[in-house]
Amino acid sequence: MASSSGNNPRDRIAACFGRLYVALSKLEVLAEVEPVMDPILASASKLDVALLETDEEEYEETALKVVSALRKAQLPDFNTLQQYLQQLDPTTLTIPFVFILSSLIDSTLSEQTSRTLPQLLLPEGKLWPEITRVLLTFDQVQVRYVGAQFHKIIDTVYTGAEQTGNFVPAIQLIENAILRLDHTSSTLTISHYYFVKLCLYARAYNEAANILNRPIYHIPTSEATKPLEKRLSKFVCSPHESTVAYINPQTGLSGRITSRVYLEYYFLSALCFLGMQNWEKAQEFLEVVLTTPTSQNVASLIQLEAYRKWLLVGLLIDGEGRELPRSVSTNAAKHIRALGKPYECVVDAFKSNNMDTLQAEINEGIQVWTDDGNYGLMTEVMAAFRKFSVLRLSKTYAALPIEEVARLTSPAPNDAAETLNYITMLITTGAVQAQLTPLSPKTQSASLGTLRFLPSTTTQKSEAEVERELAIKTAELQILSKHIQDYDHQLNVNKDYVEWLQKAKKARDQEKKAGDKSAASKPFGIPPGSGMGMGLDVDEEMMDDWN
Amino acid sequence: MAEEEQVKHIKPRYTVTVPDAPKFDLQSYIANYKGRTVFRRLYLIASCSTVLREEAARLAVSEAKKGQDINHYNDAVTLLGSVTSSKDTKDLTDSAWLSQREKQNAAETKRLENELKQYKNNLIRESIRMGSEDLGQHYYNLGDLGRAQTSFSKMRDYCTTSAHIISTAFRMVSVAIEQKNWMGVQSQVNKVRALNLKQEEAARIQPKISTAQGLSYMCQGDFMEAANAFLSTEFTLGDTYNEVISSNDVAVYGGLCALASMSRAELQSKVLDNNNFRSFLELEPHIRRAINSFCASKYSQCLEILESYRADYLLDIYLQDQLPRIYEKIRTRSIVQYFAPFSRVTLQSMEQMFGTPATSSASSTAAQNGSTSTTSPSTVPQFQWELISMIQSGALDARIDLENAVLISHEEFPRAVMQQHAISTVDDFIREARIKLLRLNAVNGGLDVKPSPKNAKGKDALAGGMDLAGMVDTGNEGFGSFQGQGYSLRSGRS
Repeated sequence: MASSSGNNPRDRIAACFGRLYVALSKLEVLAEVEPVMDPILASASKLDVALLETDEEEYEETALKVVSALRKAQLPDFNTLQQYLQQLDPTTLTIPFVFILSSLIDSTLSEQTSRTLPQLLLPEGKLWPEITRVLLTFDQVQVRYVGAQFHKIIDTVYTGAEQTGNFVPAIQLIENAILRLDHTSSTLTISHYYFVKLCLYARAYNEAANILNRPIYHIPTSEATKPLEKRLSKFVCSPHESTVAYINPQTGLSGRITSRVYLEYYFLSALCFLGMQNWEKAQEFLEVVLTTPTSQNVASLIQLEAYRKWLLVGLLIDGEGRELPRSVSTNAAKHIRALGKPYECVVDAFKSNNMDTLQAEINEGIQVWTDDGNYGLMTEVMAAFRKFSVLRLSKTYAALPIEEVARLTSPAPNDAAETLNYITMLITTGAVQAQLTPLSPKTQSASLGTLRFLPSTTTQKSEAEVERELAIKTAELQILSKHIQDYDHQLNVNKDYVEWLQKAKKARDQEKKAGDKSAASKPFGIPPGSGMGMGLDVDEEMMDDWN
Repeated sequence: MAEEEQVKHIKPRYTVTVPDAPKFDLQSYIANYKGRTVFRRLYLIASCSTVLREEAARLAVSEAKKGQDINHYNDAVTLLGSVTSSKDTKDLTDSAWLSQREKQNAAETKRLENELKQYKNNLIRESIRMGSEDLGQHYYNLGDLGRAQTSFSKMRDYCTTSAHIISTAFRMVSVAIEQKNWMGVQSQVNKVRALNLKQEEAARIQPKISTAQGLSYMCQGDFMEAANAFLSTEFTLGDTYNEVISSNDVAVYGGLCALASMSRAELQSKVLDNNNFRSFLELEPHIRRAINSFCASKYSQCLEILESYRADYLLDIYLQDQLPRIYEKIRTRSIVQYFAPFSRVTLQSMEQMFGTPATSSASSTAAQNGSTSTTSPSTVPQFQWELISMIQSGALDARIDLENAVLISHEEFPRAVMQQHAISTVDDFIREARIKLLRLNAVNGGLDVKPSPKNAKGKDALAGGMDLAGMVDTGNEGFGSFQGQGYSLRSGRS
């Protein structure tokens, strides 16, 4: 055990734990385990921060050795092992802890005939305290060596939550695990997918935002990360610039990301934002789904669902429908647009600025909206129409009587009192920047009051506010540009790209040969074999893609 | 056949009725023109003006008799029959003349066609060109515009000198103008412009080119370009282009187009201080007065002058279609210019200044608004309604305060607008970049949606890709959870 010496905090914790261990070691059961585990634990305990800082190579070797020793070790029966696990510290000894826990899960599952999880893996179950402990306090470096096993634990938590309907502890555990592994949460993992799904089940939209608001920059599929392996000559344990270096299918930490998981993750996230009524974010996420590349002549059903919601959300944001992003593949667009027709009709009716048309269009398709699960959004659209009608008035009028507002925008043009209530609601929620003044003494009519739109000066931001906002944006842009550069590097090792380079070079060589014969030199030709010319071409190619 | 088409083409054209007496004298007005345009102008006046119709129709009949176009004659006689106050309408048609004319025309056509055939056999280019020209001109005189155009365009192939090209172009311009084919006019003008001409030659044709161009721009509704073209017309035009346009017309068209499109400073420098155009304006002094009063901010005076000439201009062959738009634009611009120096003006004082909009422009405004908004203009005072539609169309940057009945200028703070713009641009960029980056990631990671494994053998477990054909009937199983989610979302919100 590591309890004998050392001043650093971890060692001290380990020392405490060691004392506990001594007290308990009197129990006989443990006598069985000790001979097997002690040597492994001895080497596992060497894996501390000090070693990581001084000698990464040694750290990596030791870690791998521990893992292979654990694989070979004859582990005792379930009960013994479980009691033994209770005394291990999941922080200093993450590797053995995760490994043993996952083998315990395995053995319970193998006894199980049905697909449901046994009681002891569920919250309040026998193994639950261990599961909680490790997910809350695992060591983020050690865990990289037991990614697959770690992943199994998360899997168990997720399945258990689905089974019991007790979502809250699972949401908290998975959220913590994601952030502990990668505080930027910039690499997509299966855990993200589990997390957002559970949040939706639990309607914990605001809790979901903490993860969803951190943009994803990497998607670790084996196609994407395999070519990188050779480039990353560093060790798994080294501090990496981007988290995808260790959260990938090779370490097992990411789980297997498929096209389906990817689409669903973004679609479900968008649903979360819809639940929060954060239309802008929802739109962004839906657009990710829409722009997912498609091969051949197909489109995903999820994309269709996304398109329907995306159309409506566009109306909710600014009352104007918008064009499909250009990066949506034309074939896919053709399919989803054909099936999204009723929704496009609603958008057209909305844009026609005619309330009756819109109402008729929405009534016409009630069955469709209900079947698609979009009825709720439709009612939002109807409400938004009235709101934007009032907002549009501010472009023409500085002030106008409530009766006039009712006549121009209300579904019941003669019911000024109802409009008054509605306007009051809009003003109090901040949707409209305006004032209501009671009957002015000048006018003799029996008006209920006047709606006066506030000039834009009153809503203007102060200089300091703007400056702060700009600073935030600058920082965001810097992060983004760093990721773009990273990605540019990554694409350099892409197989297709390398092939393209070869082809381009061949073509250029041929051209050069032909050129040498005809003209001695062109004034602005690319100098033969110059890397510069090549680099420039590449940049242009990239830019084309971006545009 | 083509002649029949033409008849149909002319007759439904004039739906405007002008009850007021124009200020011009018909005889002297029509003396300004020559060629086919004389008849067409007379015919228009006879169809539209209630005051002048009989006189104009009689003149049209006698004019048609001078020419070769039988359809003109027939049209004119029919028209005269319908407008004349004398009871004797039977003997209007001179059938002897008609049949003689018909014979002559047919004979002439045959002669010219034969001649051209001969020339073609002889392969003498110059003769072919002249033959085609004669034939084209003959068709033109007969009013068979389609064939005239074909002849003239054949003639182009045999042109050898720039003078030939110019004369061909002008003949085609005449045809195109009568057909109201303004793009055709434009393209002919451009062809002439592209020629490399001697200075004297260029100076000689400049007025005709400019007016033809101006006319085509004006009739297409591009008043700014039209104004520029008319303003650059040299006064040497005189009566050289009487078959299309007179110098008086240039003054009127140029002046109106300029009023409809230019700022006060531009009007001053490009129109009033333009020595060349001043000569034109002297022919139509009231146009100069209108422009002067616009520049001097006396908008109501300017509008009054123009209004008093409305009848005249509605009887102009080219202006008739465009006049309501031109007047409306001038009125809109007057209101905008009037309001420019103020931060707020009472609606009452503005209404006194401008009065209610004239009938024709008001009805067109109302029609426009009826289509864009659900409100009925009847409940809103007309002038206020005009302002509202101006604001909504973006012409007037102001807001109406109905409580105090004032028009308030819209204030913006460039700095704040700029800052807002900068921030939203950055936001859009970040958003866009993230989406694109993810897409790149997905492409690179092989995450594209693929057909379901059922349809594509050997492609395993890419469950996200369902092809749509299969999805319609079977897709629901795989998708149930989402639909359920949709429902729960709804109940979650309401």
